[in-house]
Amino acid sequence: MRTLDRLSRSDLVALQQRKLGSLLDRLRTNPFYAERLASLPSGGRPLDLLRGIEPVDKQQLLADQDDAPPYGRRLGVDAAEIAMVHTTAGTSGKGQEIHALTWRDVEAAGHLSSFAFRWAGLRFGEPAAFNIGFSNSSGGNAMLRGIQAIGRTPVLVAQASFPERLRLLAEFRPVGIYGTPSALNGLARTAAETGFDVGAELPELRFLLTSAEPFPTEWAERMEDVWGAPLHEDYGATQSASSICASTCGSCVVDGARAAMHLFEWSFLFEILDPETADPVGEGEWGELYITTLDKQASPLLRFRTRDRVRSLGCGRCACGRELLSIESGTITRYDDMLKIKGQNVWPADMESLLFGLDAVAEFSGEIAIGPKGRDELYLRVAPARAGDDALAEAIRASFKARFNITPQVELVPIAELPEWNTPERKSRRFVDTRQAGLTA
Amino acid sequence: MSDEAAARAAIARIRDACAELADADDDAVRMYAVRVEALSRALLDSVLGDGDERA
Repeated sequence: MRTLDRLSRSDLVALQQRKLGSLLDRLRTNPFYAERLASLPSGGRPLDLLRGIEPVDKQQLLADQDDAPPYGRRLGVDAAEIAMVHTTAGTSGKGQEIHALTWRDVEAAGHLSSFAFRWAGLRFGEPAAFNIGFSNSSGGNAMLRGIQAIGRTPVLVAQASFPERLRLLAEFRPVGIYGTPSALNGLARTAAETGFDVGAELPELRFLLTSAEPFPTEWAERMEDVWGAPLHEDYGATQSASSICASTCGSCVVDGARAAMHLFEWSFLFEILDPETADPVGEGEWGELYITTLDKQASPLLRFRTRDRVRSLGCGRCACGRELLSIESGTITRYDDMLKIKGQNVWPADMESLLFGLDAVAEFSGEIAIGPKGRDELYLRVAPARAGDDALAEAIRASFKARFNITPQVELVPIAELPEWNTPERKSRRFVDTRQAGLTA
Repeated sequence: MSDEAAARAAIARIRDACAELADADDDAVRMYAVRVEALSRALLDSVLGDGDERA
Protein backbone atom coordinates (compact mmCIF):
# COMPACT_ATOMS: atom_id res chain seq x y z
CA MET A 1 0.00 0.00 0.00
CA ARG A 2 1.39 3.41 -0.94
CA THR A 3 1.70 5.71 2.07
CA LEU A 4 1.43 9.49 1.83
CA ASP A 5 5.10 10.04 2.63
CA ARG A 6 5.89 8.45 -0.75
CA LEU A 7 3.82 10.77 -2.93
CA SER A 8 5.59 12.33 -5.87
CA ARG A 9 6.21 16.05 -5.51
CA SER A 10 3.50 16.90 -8.03
CA ASP A 11 0.94 14.64 -6.34
CA LEU A 12 1.90 16.11 -2.97
CA VAL A 13 1.41 19.68 -4.17
CA ALA A 14 -1.95 18.72 -5.68
CA LEU A 15 -2.97 17.24 -2.31
CA GLN A 16 -1.85 20.40 -0.53
CA GLN A 17 -3.79 22.58 -2.96
CA ARG A 18 -6.95 20.61 -2.27
CA LYS A 19 -6.50 20.56 1.50
CA LEU A 20 -5.53 24.21 1.76
CA GLY A 21 -8.51 25.22 -0.38
CA SER A 22 -10.83 23.37 1.99
CA LEU A 23 -9.12 24.89 5.02
CA LEU A 24 -9.42 28.43 3.67
CA ASP A 25 -13.08 27.88 2.86
CA ARG A 26 -13.65 26.70 6.42
CA LEU A 27 -11.67 29.48 8.04
CA ARG A 28 -13.45 32.25 6.13
CA THR A 29 -16.25 31.82 8.67
CA ASN A 30 -13.98 31.26 11.68
CA PRO A 31 -14.25 34.35 13.92
CA PHE A 32 -10.49 34.49 14.52
CA TYR A 33 -9.40 34.03 10.91
CA ALA A 34 -12.27 35.65 9.00
CA GLU A 35 -10.80 39.15 9.15
CA ARG A 36 -7.41 37.94 7.92
CA LEU A 37 -9.04 36.23 4.97
CA ALA A 38 -11.59 38.91 4.11
CA SER A 39 -9.42 40.56 1.48
CA LEU A 40 -8.19 37.31 0.00
CA PRO A 41 -9.39 36.61 -3.56
CA SER A 42 -11.90 33.78 -3.72
CA GLY A 43 -10.40 32.29 -6.88
CA GLY A 44 -6.90 31.18 -7.74
CA ARG A 45 -4.72 28.38 -6.54
CA PRO A 46 -4.74 28.22 -2.72
CA LEU A 47 -0.97 27.85 -2.41
CA ASP A 48 -0.50 31.04 -4.44
CA LEU A 49 -2.68 32.90 -1.94
CA LEU A 50 -0.82 31.72 1.14
CA ARG A 51 1.82 34.41 1.43
CA GLY A 52 -0.83 37.10 1.26
CA ILE A 53 -2.27 35.92 4.56
CA GLU A 54 -1.09 37.60 7.77
CA PRO A 55 0.84 35.08 9.90
CA VAL A 56 -0.24 34.14 13.41
CA ASP A 57 2.07 34.32 16.41
CA LYS A 58 2.00 33.21 20.01
CA GLN A 59 0.95 36.60 21.36
CA GLN A 60 -2.05 36.66 19.04
CA LEU A 61 -3.11 33.20 20.20
CA LEU A 62 -2.81 34.27 23.85
CA ALA A 63 -4.79 37.44 23.18
CA ASP A 64 -7.44 35.36 21.43
CA GLN A 65 -7.72 33.15 24.52
CA ASP A 66 -8.06 36.22 26.70
CA ASP A 67 -10.85 37.50 24.45
CA ALA A 68 -12.78 34.22 24.47
CA PRO A 69 -11.49 31.92 27.21
CA PRO A 70 -10.49 29.19 27.36
CA TYR A 71 -10.16 28.12 23.71
CA GLY A 72 -10.24 31.44 21.88
CA ARG A 73 -12.38 32.35 18.89
CA ARG A 74 -10.17 30.18 16.69
CA LEU A 75 -11.61 26.93 18.11
CA GLY A 76 -13.49 26.08 14.91
CA VAL A 77 -15.66 23.27 16.32
CA ASP A 78 -18.43 23.02 18.87
CA ALA A 79 -16.97 22.78 22.37
CA ALA A 80 -18.86 19.51 22.83
CA GLU A 81 -16.62 17.96 20.16
CA ILE A 82 -13.44 18.56 22.16
CA ALA A 83 -11.90 15.30 23.31
CA MET A 84 -8.88 16.80 25.07
CA VAL A 85 -6.65 19.84 25.12
CA HIS A 86 -2.93 20.30 24.99
CA THR A 87 -1.15 23.32 26.35
CA THR A 88 2.25 24.65 25.45
CA ALA A 89 4.86 24.30 28.15
CA GLY A 90 4.98 28.01 28.91
CA THR A 91 8.75 27.88 29.35
CA SER A 92 9.11 31.14 27.46
CA GLY A 93 7.34 32.78 30.38
CA LYS A 94 4.81 34.34 28.03
CA GLY A 95 1.84 32.16 28.89
CA GLN A 96 0.41 28.87 27.79
CA GLU A 97 -1.42 28.40 24.52
CA ILE A 98 -4.43 26.12 24.58
CA HIS A 99 -4.91 23.79 21.62
CA ALA A 100 -8.06 21.69 21.49
CA LEU A 101 -8.37 18.32 19.78
CA THR A 102 -11.43 16.43 18.55
CA TRP A 103 -11.40 12.64 18.72
CA ARG A 104 -10.36 12.66 15.09
CA ASP A 105 -7.48 15.01 15.92
CA VAL A 106 -6.35 12.74 18.78
CA GLU A 107 -6.26 9.67 16.55
CA ALA A 108 -4.65 11.54 13.66
CA ALA A 109 -1.89 12.81 15.96
CA GLY A 110 -1.10 9.19 16.76
CA HIS A 111 -1.04 8.07 13.17
CA LEU A 112 1.09 11.01 12.09
CA SER A 113 3.52 10.49 14.97
CA SER A 114 3.79 6.82 14.08
CA PHE A 115 5.67 7.71 10.90
CA ALA A 116 8.72 8.63 12.98
CA PHE A 117 8.64 5.23 14.66
CA ARG A 118 7.99 3.40 11.37
CA TRP A 119 10.92 5.11 9.71
CA ALA A 120 13.07 4.23 12.72
CA GLY A 121 12.15 0.57 12.34
CA LEU A 122 9.19 -0.16 14.62
CA ARG A 123 7.02 -2.90 13.16
CA PHE A 124 3.53 -4.23 13.83
CA GLY A 125 2.97 -5.19 17.45
CA GLU A 126 6.51 -4.51 18.63
CA PRO A 127 7.24 -2.85 21.99
CA ALA A 128 8.82 0.58 22.33
CA ALA A 129 9.39 2.90 25.28
CA PHE A 130 9.50 6.66 25.65
CA ASN A 131 11.04 8.97 28.23
CA ILE A 132 8.49 11.77 28.43
CA GLY A 133 6.11 12.15 31.33
CA PHE A 134 2.42 12.89 30.96
CA SER A 135 1.00 16.33 31.41
CA ASN A 136 -1.24 18.64 29.39
CA SER A 137 1.57 19.24 26.94
CA SER A 138 1.48 17.15 23.80
CA GLY A 139 4.81 15.31 24.02
CA GLY A 140 3.89 12.27 26.09
CA ASN A 141 0.63 11.80 24.24
CA ALA A 142 2.28 12.03 20.83
CA MET A 143 4.79 9.37 21.79
CA LEU A 144 2.26 7.03 23.38
CA ARG A 145 -0.22 7.27 20.52
CA GLY A 146 2.51 7.25 17.90
CA ILE A 147 3.89 3.98 19.17
CA GLN A 148 0.45 2.47 19.72
CA ALA A 149 -0.62 3.25 16.14
CA ILE A 150 1.60 0.37 14.97
CA GLY A 151 3.23 -1.18 18.02
CA ARG A 152 2.71 -1.27 21.76
CA THR A 153 3.92 0.33 24.95
CA PRO A 154 3.90 -2.34 27.65
CA VAL A 155 5.51 -0.10 30.24
CA LEU A 156 5.90 3.60 31.00
CA VAL A 157 9.32 4.63 32.25
CA ALA A 158 9.47 8.42 32.41
CA GLN A 159 8.08 8.61 35.93
CA ALA A 160 11.01 6.57 37.31
CA SER A 161 14.59 7.44 38.28
CA PHE A 162 17.26 6.64 35.71
CA PRO A 163 18.36 3.39 37.47
CA GLU A 164 14.73 2.28 37.72
CA ARG A 165 14.14 3.13 34.06
CA LEU A 166 17.04 0.90 33.07
CA ARG A 167 15.59 -1.92 35.16
CA LEU A 168 12.19 -1.52 33.48
CA LEU A 169 13.73 -1.38 30.02
CA ALA A 170 15.70 -4.55 30.69
CA GLU A 171 12.56 -6.28 31.90
CA PHE A 172 10.31 -5.28 28.98
CA ARG A 173 13.00 -5.24 26.27
CA PRO A 174 11.77 -2.63 23.78
CA VAL A 175 13.00 -2.59 20.19
CA GLY A 176 13.13 1.22 20.33
CA ILE A 177 13.57 3.92 22.93
CA TYR A 178 12.57 7.56 22.62
CA GLY A 179 14.28 10.11 24.84
CA THR A 180 15.39 13.72 24.68
CA PRO A 181 19.15 14.11 24.35
CA SER A 182 19.21 14.87 28.07
CA ALA A 183 17.31 11.69 28.91
CA LEU A 184 19.38 9.44 26.63
CA ASN A 185 22.54 11.04 27.97
CA GLY A 186 21.42 10.54 31.57
CA LEU A 187 20.44 6.94 30.96
CA ALA A 188 23.76 6.21 29.24
CA ARG A 189 25.65 7.81 32.09
CA THR A 190 23.69 5.83 34.68
CA ALA A 191 24.30 2.64 32.73
CA ALA A 192 28.04 3.26 32.78
CA GLU A 193 28.04 4.15 36.47
CA THR A 194 26.00 1.15 37.54
CA GLY A 195 27.58 -1.48 35.29
CA PHE A 196 24.39 -1.92 33.25
CA ASP A 197 25.48 -3.82 30.14
CA VAL A 198 23.32 -2.29 27.41
CA GLY A 199 24.10 -4.93 24.81
CA ALA A 200 23.31 -7.82 27.14
CA GLU A 201 20.30 -6.26 28.86
CA LEU A 202 18.62 -4.82 25.75
CA PRO A 203 19.37 -7.39 23.04
CA GLU A 204 16.34 -6.47 20.92
CA LEU A 205 17.09 -2.74 20.81
CA ARG A 206 17.09 -1.59 17.17
CA PHE A 207 16.69 2.17 17.33
CA LEU A 208 16.82 5.30 19.42
CA LEU A 209 14.64 8.31 18.69
CA THR A 210 15.30 11.77 20.06
CA SER A 211 14.06 15.35 19.71
CA ALA A 212 13.46 18.66 21.48
CA GLU A 213 17.08 19.68 21.99
CA PRO A 214 19.92 20.26 19.51
CA PHE A 215 23.00 18.10 19.78
CA PRO A 216 26.50 17.80 18.34
CA THR A 217 27.31 15.05 15.86
CA GLU A 218 29.96 13.68 18.23
CA TRP A 219 27.33 13.18 20.91
CA ALA A 220 25.02 11.37 18.46
CA GLU A 221 27.80 9.02 17.42
CA ARG A 222 28.69 8.40 21.07
CA MET A 223 25.06 7.50 21.84
CA GLU A 224 24.98 5.08 18.91
CA ASP A 225 28.14 3.43 20.24
CA VAL A 226 26.84 3.22 23.80
CA TRP A 227 23.40 1.88 22.88
CA GLY A 228 24.46 -0.15 19.86
CA ALA A 229 21.60 1.25 17.78
CA PRO A 230 21.11 4.06 15.27
CA LEU A 231 19.89 7.37 16.62
CA HIS A 232 16.99 8.94 14.73
CA GLU A 233 15.55 12.39 15.32
CA ASP A 234 12.00 13.70 15.10
CA TYR A 235 10.49 17.17 15.37
CA GLY A 236 7.09 18.20 16.57
CA ALA A 237 5.22 20.77 18.59
CA THR A 238 1.87 21.30 20.17
CA GLN A 239 1.23 23.68 17.29
CA SER A 240 1.85 20.91 14.76
CA ALA A 241 -1.46 19.26 15.62
CA SER A 242 0.08 17.85 18.83
CA SER A 243 1.96 15.47 16.60
CA ILE A 244 5.40 14.65 15.38
CA CYS A 245 5.64 16.44 12.04
CA ALA A 246 9.15 15.57 10.81
CA SER A 247 11.66 12.79 11.20
CA THR A 248 14.87 11.38 9.84
CA CYS A 249 14.52 8.28 7.67
CA GLY A 250 17.71 6.78 9.08
CA SER A 251 20.49 7.62 11.49
CA CYS A 252 20.65 11.36 12.18
CA VAL A 253 24.40 11.41 11.62
CA VAL A 254 25.94 9.64 8.63
CA ASP A 255 29.73 9.56 8.29
CA GLY A 256 30.00 12.53 10.62
CA ALA A 257 27.49 14.63 8.66
CA ARG A 258 24.03 15.62 9.78
CA ALA A 259 21.12 13.93 8.04
CA ALA A 260 17.80 15.44 6.93
CA MET A 261 14.52 15.42 8.76
CA HIS A 262 11.67 15.06 6.29
CA LEU A 263 8.65 17.23 6.99
CA PHE A 264 5.21 15.58 6.94
CA GLU A 265 3.90 17.76 4.14
CA TRP A 266 0.86 15.64 3.40
CA SER A 267 -0.75 16.96 6.58
CA PHE A 268 0.94 20.35 7.04
CA LEU A 269 2.20 23.26 5.02
CA PHE A 270 5.67 24.34 6.06
CA GLU A 271 7.34 27.60 5.15
CA ILE A 272 10.93 28.44 6.05
CA LEU A 273 11.23 32.21 5.97
CA ASP A 274 13.74 34.87 6.84
CA PRO A 275 12.54 36.16 10.25
CA GLU A 276 13.21 39.76 9.28
CA THR A 277 12.02 39.94 5.67
CA ALA A 278 9.60 36.98 5.62
CA ASP A 279 11.14 35.92 2.29
CA PRO A 280 11.65 32.20 1.69
CA VAL A 281 15.20 31.08 2.43
CA GLY A 282 17.20 28.99 0.01
CA GLU A 283 18.53 25.47 0.39
CA GLY A 284 21.21 25.38 3.07
CA GLU A 285 20.02 28.62 4.65
CA TRP A 286 18.53 29.27 8.06
CA GLY A 287 15.03 30.55 8.61
CA GLU A 288 11.98 30.50 10.84
CA LEU A 289 9.57 27.61 10.43
CA TYR A 290 5.93 28.55 9.79
CA ILE A 291 3.29 25.83 10.14
CA THR A 292 -0.21 25.51 8.70
CA THR A 293 -2.25 22.55 9.91
CA LEU A 294 -4.06 21.19 6.86
CA ASP A 295 -6.14 18.53 8.60
CA LYS A 296 -6.75 19.64 12.17
CA GLN A 297 -10.39 20.18 13.08
CA ALA A 298 -10.14 21.99 16.43
CA SER A 299 -7.85 25.00 16.95
CA PRO A 300 -6.52 25.06 13.36
CA LEU A 301 -3.41 27.12 12.69
CA LEU A 302 -2.79 29.14 9.56
CA ARG A 303 0.78 30.32 9.01
CA PHE A 304 1.84 29.99 12.65
CA ARG A 305 5.26 31.46 13.41
CA THR A 306 7.01 28.83 15.51
CA ARG A 307 10.10 30.97 16.33
CA ASP A 308 12.04 27.76 15.67
CA ARG A 309 15.24 28.39 13.74
CA VAL A 310 15.81 25.64 11.19
CA ARG A 311 18.14 25.01 8.29
CA SER A 312 16.38 24.22 5.05
CA LEU A 313 17.71 21.28 3.05
CA GLY A 314 15.29 21.56 0.14
CA CYS A 315 13.23 18.74 -1.40
CA GLY A 316 14.04 15.33 -2.74
CA ARG A 317 17.74 15.10 -2.02
CA CYS A 318 17.56 12.01 0.19
CA ALA A 319 18.56 8.52 -0.88
CA CYS A 320 15.31 7.20 0.60
CA GLY A 321 13.51 8.65 -2.43
CA ARG A 322 10.97 10.73 -0.52
CA GLU A 323 10.38 14.10 -2.14
CA LEU A 324 9.50 15.96 1.05
CA LEU A 325 10.89 19.32 2.11
CA SER A 326 13.57 18.65 4.71
CA ILE A 327 15.41 20.40 7.52
CA GLU A 328 18.77 19.65 9.07
CA SER A 329 18.81 17.22 11.96
CA GLY A 330 20.21 18.18 15.33
CA THR A 331 20.37 21.94 14.85
CA ILE A 332 16.91 23.34 15.62
CA THR A 333 17.09 26.22 18.06
CA ARG A 334 14.83 29.03 19.19
CA TYR A 335 15.08 32.57 17.90
CA ASP A 336 13.83 33.84 21.21
CA ASP A 337 16.42 31.86 23.20
CA MET A 338 19.21 34.11 22.08
CA LEU A 339 21.28 35.52 24.94
CA LYS A 340 23.49 38.54 24.90
CA ILE A 341 26.45 37.79 27.19
CA LYS A 342 29.26 40.31 27.53
CA GLY A 343 27.98 41.92 24.35
CA GLN A 344 28.04 38.69 22.35
CA ASN A 345 24.95 37.07 20.82
CA VAL A 346 24.89 33.38 21.74
CA TRP A 347 22.34 30.61 21.78
CA PRO A 348 22.23 28.16 24.69
CA ALA A 349 22.07 25.34 22.17
CA ASP A 350 25.41 26.33 20.70
CA MET A 351 27.02 26.35 24.14
CA GLU A 352 25.45 22.99 24.95
CA SER A 353 26.70 21.66 21.65
CA LEU A 354 30.24 22.76 22.41
CA LEU A 355 30.23 21.24 25.89
CA PHE A 356 28.59 17.96 24.95
CA GLY A 357 30.98 17.72 22.04
CA LEU A 358 33.77 17.27 24.57
CA ASP A 359 34.24 13.66 25.63
CA ALA A 360 35.60 14.87 28.96
CA VAL A 361 32.28 16.52 29.94
CA ALA A 362 29.66 14.31 31.57
CA GLU A 363 27.14 16.99 32.54
CA PHE A 364 26.96 20.68 33.27
CA SER A 365 24.79 23.62 34.23
CA GLY A 366 25.24 27.26 33.34
CA GLU A 367 24.23 30.58 34.83
CA ILE A 368 24.49 34.05 33.40
CA ALA A 369 24.67 36.33 36.42
CA ILE A 370 25.94 39.70 37.55
CA GLY A 371 29.45 39.10 38.85
CA PRO A 372 31.35 40.81 41.69
CA LYS A 373 32.52 43.54 39.32
CA GLY A 374 28.93 44.38 38.49
CA ARG A 375 28.94 43.10 34.93
CA ASP A 376 27.57 39.96 33.45
CA GLU A 377 29.50 36.75 33.74
CA LEU A 378 28.96 33.24 32.46
CA TYR A 379 29.35 30.65 35.20
CA LEU A 380 29.67 26.99 34.25
CA ARG A 381 29.52 24.12 36.72
CA VAL A 382 30.91 21.10 34.92
CA ALA A 383 31.04 17.46 35.96
CA PRO A 384 34.07 15.79 34.34
CA ALA A 385 33.61 12.38 32.78
CA ARG A 386 36.85 11.29 34.43
CA ALA A 387 38.08 12.25 37.89
CA GLY A 388 41.26 14.30 38.13
CA ASP A 389 40.90 15.99 34.76
CA ASP A 390 42.52 19.22 35.94
CA ALA A 391 43.05 20.57 32.44
CA LEU A 392 39.36 20.47 31.60
CA ALA A 393 38.41 23.85 33.07
CA GLU A 394 41.09 25.64 31.09
CA ALA A 395 40.18 23.75 27.93
CA ILE A 396 36.57 24.87 28.29
CA ARG A 397 37.58 28.47 28.92
CA ALA A 398 39.74 28.45 25.81
CA SER A 399 37.04 26.82 23.69
CA PHE A 400 34.44 29.37 24.75
CA LYS A 401 36.83 32.23 24.08
CA ALA A 402 37.61 30.92 20.61
CA ARG A 403 34.02 30.11 19.67
CA PHE A 404 31.96 32.81 21.39
CA ASN A 405 34.52 35.41 22.43
CA ILE A 406 33.41 34.86 26.01
CA THR A 407 35.62 33.54 28.82
CA PRO A 408 33.43 31.75 31.36
CA GLN A 409 34.12 31.04 35.01
CA VAL A 410 34.40 27.25 35.17
CA GLU A 411 33.99 25.19 38.32
CA LEU A 412 34.50 21.43 38.22
CA VAL A 413 32.04 19.64 40.49
CA PRO A 414 30.99 16.05 41.24
CA ILE A 415 28.09 15.01 39.05
CA ALA A 416 25.88 14.49 42.08
CA GLU A 417 25.90 18.25 42.63
CA LEU A 418 24.20 18.91 39.30
CA PRO A 419 20.49 18.55 38.50
CA GLU A 420 19.54 15.23 36.92
CA TRP A 421 17.62 16.90 34.07
CA ASN A 422 14.96 14.33 34.67
CA THR A 423 11.95 16.55 34.18
CA PRO A 424 8.56 15.41 32.90
CA GLU A 425 8.62 18.09 30.22
CA ARG A 426 10.60 17.63 27.06
CA LYS A 427 13.02 20.48 27.10
CA SER A 428 15.86 20.69 29.57
CA ARG A 429 17.12 24.18 30.17
CA ARG A 430 20.67 23.98 31.39
CA PHE A 431 21.27 27.72 31.27
CA VAL A 432 19.53 30.15 33.59
CA ASP A 433 19.77 33.90 33.30
CA THR A 434 19.68 35.60 36.71
CA ARG A 435 21.03 38.95 35.61
CA GLN A 436 17.82 40.83 36.22
CA ALA A 437 17.71 39.62 39.83
CA GLY A 438 21.39 40.48 40.16
CA LEU A 439 20.82 43.96 38.87
CA THR A 440 18.03 44.66 41.32
CA ALA A 441 19.68 43.03 44.34
CA MET B 1 -35.06 -4.45 15.86
CA SER B 2 -34.20 -3.39 19.42
CA ASP B 3 -31.39 -0.94 20.14
CA GLU B 4 -29.30 -3.79 21.49
CA ALA B 5 -29.93 -5.98 18.49
CA ALA B 6 -29.08 -3.08 16.17
CA ALA B 7 -25.87 -2.44 18.09
CA ARG B 8 -24.92 -6.11 17.92
CA ALA B 9 -25.57 -6.25 14.19
CA ALA B 10 -23.49 -3.12 13.58
CA ILE B 11 -20.64 -4.36 15.76
CA ALA B 12 -20.66 -7.68 13.95
CA ARG B 13 -20.20 -5.87 10.64
CA ILE B 14 -17.35 -3.83 12.09
CA ARG B 15 -15.66 -6.98 13.40
CA ASP B 16 -16.01 -8.64 10.02
CA ALA B 17 -14.31 -5.63 8.44
CA CYS B 18 -11.53 -5.80 11.02
CA ALA B 19 -10.98 -9.46 10.23
CA GLU B 20 -10.58 -8.51 6.56
CA LEU B 21 -7.92 -5.91 7.45
CA ALA B 22 -6.03 -8.10 9.90
CA ASP B 23 -3.58 -9.27 7.24
CA ALA B 24 -3.07 -5.92 5.50
CA ASP B 25 0.41 -5.11 4.25
CA ASP B 26 0.53 -1.80 6.07
CA ASP B 27 1.35 -2.02 9.79
CA ALA B 28 -0.84 0.97 10.64
CA VAL B 29 -3.85 -0.60 8.94
CA ARG B 30 -3.24 -3.89 10.76
CA MET B 31 -3.00 -2.11 14.09
CA TYR B 32 -6.13 -0.11 13.27
CA ALA B 33 -7.94 -3.42 12.79
CA VAL B 34 -6.60 -4.74 16.10
CA ARG B 35 -7.68 -1.67 18.00
CA VAL B 36 -11.12 -1.30 16.42
CA GLU B 37 -11.73 -5.00 17.03
CA ALA B 38 -10.69 -4.46 20.65
CA LEU B 39 -13.06 -1.49 20.97
CA SER B 40 -15.87 -3.57 19.53
CA ARG B 41 -15.27 -6.49 21.83
CA ALA B 42 -14.89 -4.24 24.86
CA LEU B 43 -18.32 -2.79 24.06
CA LEU B 44 -19.81 -6.26 23.74
CA ASP B 45 -18.16 -7.52 26.91
CA SER B 46 -18.36 -4.55 29.22
CA VAL B 47 -21.47 -2.67 28.08
CA LEU B 48 -23.72 -5.29 26.55
CA GLY B 49 -22.65 -7.87 29.12
CA ASP B 50 -21.35 -10.71 27.00
CA GLY B 51 -18.18 -11.28 28.97
CA ASP B 52 -14.85 -12.10 27.38
CA GLU B 53 -15.53 -14.63 24.66
CA ARG B 54 -12.12 -16.13 25.29
CA ALA B 55 -12.93 -16.79 28.97
